[in-house]
Amino acid sequence: MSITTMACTKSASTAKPAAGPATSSLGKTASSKAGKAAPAAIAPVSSLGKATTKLAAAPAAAKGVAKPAAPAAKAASGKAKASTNPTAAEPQVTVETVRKLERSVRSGVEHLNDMPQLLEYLAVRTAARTTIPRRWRSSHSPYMPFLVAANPQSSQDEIAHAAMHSAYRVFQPYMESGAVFRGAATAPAPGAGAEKTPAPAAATVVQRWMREKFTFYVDDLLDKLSHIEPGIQVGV
Amino acid sequence: MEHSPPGQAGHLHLVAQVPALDLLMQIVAAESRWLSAQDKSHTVANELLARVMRTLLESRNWNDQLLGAFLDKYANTHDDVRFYTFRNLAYGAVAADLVGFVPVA
Repeated sequence: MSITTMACTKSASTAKPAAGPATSSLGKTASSKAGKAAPAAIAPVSSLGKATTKLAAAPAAAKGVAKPAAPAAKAASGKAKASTNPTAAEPQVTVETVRKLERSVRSGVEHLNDMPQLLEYLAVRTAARTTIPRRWRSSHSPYMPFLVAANPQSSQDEIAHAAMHSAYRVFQPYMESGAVFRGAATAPAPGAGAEKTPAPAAATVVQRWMREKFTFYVDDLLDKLSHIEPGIQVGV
Repeated sequence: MEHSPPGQAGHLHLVAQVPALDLLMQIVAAESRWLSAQDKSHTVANELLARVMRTLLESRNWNDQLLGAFLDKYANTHDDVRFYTFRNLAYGAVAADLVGFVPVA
């Protein structure tokens, strides 16, 4: 049995390709006909005027994704600017918030700018339990259930867990079309003759932006593989 | 293992590592399908698989659940994953810089 026959997860298989339908020829088209790749690459972005302008600002916003305190700080800034404590606004974010954000992103390309915010929730829990002694964090530690039960940030675990799967469902249509994989497009390197070449097509910009987000997502999953927790915890 | 919906009392909640491994292997499968369609031959996305293995081996929080998940769900189930797992280990694509590791020529 090969991995290519591996069935998708239940949640993943039910994901409808809202954001990227009919992009199965994406990689082929982009590599063989670079000049005509733009219209076929990400078809829904045919309403490109609006999406492109929004996406132009999105990568800048995505740079804040790597900062764990960014989502909480952003949410807090909307409510009370005086509060700089990242934990102050966390109870406002729930799993339903993440799910709603996922539905929004998958509903259409005009909501793609919500994706950085969805990815920010992946990093919500990275600061959790760093003060717990390492010997207590062993998978065989008898203290672990009590630590988890007493941990006030267990709701953040659920948010991060939901964000992981939500982001996967968002990326799934793009993975099926190959848009987020490395050899899919022939986008010019940034800065390499940028003054001579014309501005890249809107679809190329979207695809590059999407690949950045996907790279961040994969890197975050790899970080979670070496997380301090054993992988299973008992909730309360 | 039961994965009850969150919010129920006493539910087992898979948090970080095992779900991350599952999602990464789903991505490996999706990329392999795409590469196979491009090359019209069976291809495995070994680059990402090697990164996953490297992260697993270098992790300071390695544990039995994670190893069991990788072996039971993937290495012992999918022949190509098993092949590339041993291949990566043998040729040092994963652990070339680990202390004391001598790659096979």
